[in-house]
Amino acid sequence: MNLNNLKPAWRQFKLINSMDETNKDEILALIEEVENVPINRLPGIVVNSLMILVLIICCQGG
Amino acid sequence: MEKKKQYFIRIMSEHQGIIKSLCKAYYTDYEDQKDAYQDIVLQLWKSLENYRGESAIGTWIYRVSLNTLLAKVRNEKTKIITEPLQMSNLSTPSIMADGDIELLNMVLQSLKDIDKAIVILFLEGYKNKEMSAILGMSPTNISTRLNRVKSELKAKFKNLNEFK
Repeated sequence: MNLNNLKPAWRQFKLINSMDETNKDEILALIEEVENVPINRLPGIVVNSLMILVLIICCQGG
Repeated sequence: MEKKKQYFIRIMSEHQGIIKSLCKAYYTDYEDQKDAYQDIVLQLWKSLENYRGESAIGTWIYRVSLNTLLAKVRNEKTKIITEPLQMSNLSTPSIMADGDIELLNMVLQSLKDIDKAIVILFLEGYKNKEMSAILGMSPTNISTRLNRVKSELKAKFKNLNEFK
């Protein structure tokens, strides 16, 4: 069995698939959609702050 | 348009053959292929900042694309079920032609997800060490899997001249 015999077919397959016109607008829309997603860090900040607060209260010496 | 976006679109245009071929190797349904293509484009965009040019751009595209596809396929509940090969179909004269894409598709569709990635990288001409870097597996593991796949294909496609 020789997988090497399939190498020309793989090259041909790639060539066929590269012939489609790249939809630049679609790619732009995709990457801009990612950029425009607001990163909501508020819940994480609130949870972390509460945990620190609890630690400070509970771990006070005296 | 920003330079980074222009550069990215140029990369996508030049290497869309790789990405679309990989999507078609893993998904038979057009909508699934389109979905996978979008996932890969997004992942490549997110990973672009980390690309330092240490490897060829094609290698980077293979690494990101294959790992995105493998993760996607793994996470999907309704995973594509590889249909068992019908030996009767393999004797069709049209697929006996040298370098036939139909035969390539048949071989790829008969493989497990990771084995498929290894075979694709082999067909692309990568060595075991390079494949291990792309897929995050040890070279020994790659070598073992590749040898096993070759044996399995030999058994499955024993009626075809190309595999004798």
